[in-house]
Amino acid sequence: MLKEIMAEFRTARAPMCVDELSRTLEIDASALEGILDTLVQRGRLNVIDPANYTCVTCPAKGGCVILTNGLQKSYVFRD
Amino acid sequence: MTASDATLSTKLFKLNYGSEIEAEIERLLPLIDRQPELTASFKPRWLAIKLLEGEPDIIERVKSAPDGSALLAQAQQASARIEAAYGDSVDIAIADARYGFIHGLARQVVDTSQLSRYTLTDRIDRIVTNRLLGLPIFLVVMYVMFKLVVDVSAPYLDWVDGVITGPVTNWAASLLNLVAAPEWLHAMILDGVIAGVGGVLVFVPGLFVLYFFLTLLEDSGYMARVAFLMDKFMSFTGLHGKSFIPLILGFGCAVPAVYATRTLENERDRIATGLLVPLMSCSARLPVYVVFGLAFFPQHADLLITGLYLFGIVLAAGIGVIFSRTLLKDNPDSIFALELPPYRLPPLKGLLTHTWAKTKEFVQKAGTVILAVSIVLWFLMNLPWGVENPRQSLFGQVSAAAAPIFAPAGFDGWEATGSLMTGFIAKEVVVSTMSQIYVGEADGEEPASETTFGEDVGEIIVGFGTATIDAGKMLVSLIPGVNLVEVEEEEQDTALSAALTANLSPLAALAFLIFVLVYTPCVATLGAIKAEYGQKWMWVSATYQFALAWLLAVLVYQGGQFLGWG
Repeated sequence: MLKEIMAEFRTARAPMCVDELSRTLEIDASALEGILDTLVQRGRLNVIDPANYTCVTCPAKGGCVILTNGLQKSYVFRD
Repeated sequence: MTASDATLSTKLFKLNYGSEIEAEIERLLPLIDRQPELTASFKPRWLAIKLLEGEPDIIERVKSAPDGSALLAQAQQASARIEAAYGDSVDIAIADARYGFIHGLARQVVDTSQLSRYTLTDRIDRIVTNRLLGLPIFLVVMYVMFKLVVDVSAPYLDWVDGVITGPVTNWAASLLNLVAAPEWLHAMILDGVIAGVGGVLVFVPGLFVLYFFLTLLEDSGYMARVAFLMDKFMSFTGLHGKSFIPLILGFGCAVPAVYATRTLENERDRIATGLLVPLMSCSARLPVYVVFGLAFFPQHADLLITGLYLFGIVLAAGIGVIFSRTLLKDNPDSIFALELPPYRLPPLKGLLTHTWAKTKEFVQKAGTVILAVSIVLWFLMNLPWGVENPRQSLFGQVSAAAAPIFAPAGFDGWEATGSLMTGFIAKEVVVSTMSQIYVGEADGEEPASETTFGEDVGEIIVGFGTATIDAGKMLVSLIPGVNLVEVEEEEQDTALSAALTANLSPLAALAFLIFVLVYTPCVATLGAIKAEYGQKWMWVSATYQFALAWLLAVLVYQGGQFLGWG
């Protein structure tokens, strides 16, 4: 299953969030989160968290629900 | 969702990792069994798997065991064979087998046949993000929010006003008498600081209610839907759909909203959005809207405030069209991908925490920026020293010299002009300055009544209780067909509103509000624009907004007069 996920990332060559991947691979989103975390720990994927990257200097970062909800945490293949 | 009755015996259960891995585990087990030091602490199969995964802590432990290095060498060879067979590292192969088992098990035991194809979120979204219904629903939500802000906060607003002009003023006066403070210090504290800062602090209840509902809309997931709805609207203006997110943030404060434009991919979108953000009605403008709304249009203050907020959005869209066709042409197309979070009912504690954090910022601003401005303004209104009429003061003379600019807009009094000038520092200061000019003067004419400390405290507590009961009645009266406040309804004629209505016509007041909505952003916002896009764009923002504000105010006033509304 991890191989399927990695293959999906290799094909997409773009950041994907849990919901998107869950729909594509038909894996439950809550189960997928654990798998993605494992792949991040193993150095296979990078996390793109809008709250940590694009909004790093925004004073409203902590309380901005729109940014953290609307722009979900995504994962990208690590070359 | 139902789970099957199947249970797994932890004693008998053994996950099969596949033939290659299982074979290597079997090869390692006899070697591990010969290590009583290790088998005393670890189960042999678990230890074998950890050695294959290369778990650093376990490797260290095995190294220290007698004959441990031979076991490690065997484990490394086994890992190399598995990697060759799988074409990937052992830990990934093992994790793959585990998640494969979990996924398969979940599929077998979770029955989703009873689940509706559409979740509650999907059902709500079909209505809320509907092409025809979405926008009217958004307008209704906005109206209800401002109705609640105006109606529910009004009793608390009166209470805070009463506390500041009553007990707080009395205590400050008594304290100043006690330390034998000079007369000028009396005047500065009572007419400058208390009138200025207090004039803004009375809006804390209203802002608390506004922040509460904005947080509720954000935390519930509705604001993300608004951004989705506005995508089509934004594309019409030539801006990126994502631009609406910073614009929504602008309802709170323009400074973080300008920084939030960093989420946009290209510079052209960032600059265009940053120039439009100040057109959103930030919370600092709300005190101005409420004061003028209640003074000039007491029956329709909520509609007026909603209208001003919407006018800001529509104006931003219009200016966006102009920018995208003139100053900032050639926008590369990019896709707006927004994941809509499921709706949720935010916990009250979280709502109150966020609301309080925002309200605290406002109170801190009142205690720093507005306090400093109030003191400086008091001195400017009393220079040359001893001047009796504020109109003859340095501030009055400068304001009066600039006032004719606003004659075509109907508000050419030095008081209004002076308030707009100080509003450049922070928009709340517009109200604080007016309060200082009008209420500060009025306070000097009416000596405060003599009360004891106990009476004052009692008055504060009783006042809060009454305000809470009145707010409750207002809240219940929002239910169609229920009215608990019809008999008690009364006109709130404060010193400030009385002075305003005596000095301005309703049409001039409307033109003034339009000017406040649009004119030059505050210093902090200009600073953010300069930091993000450079000095050139800061000047563009400052000048275009002033010119636009003047033009719109004149259009409103002259147009209204032409139609016979003046």
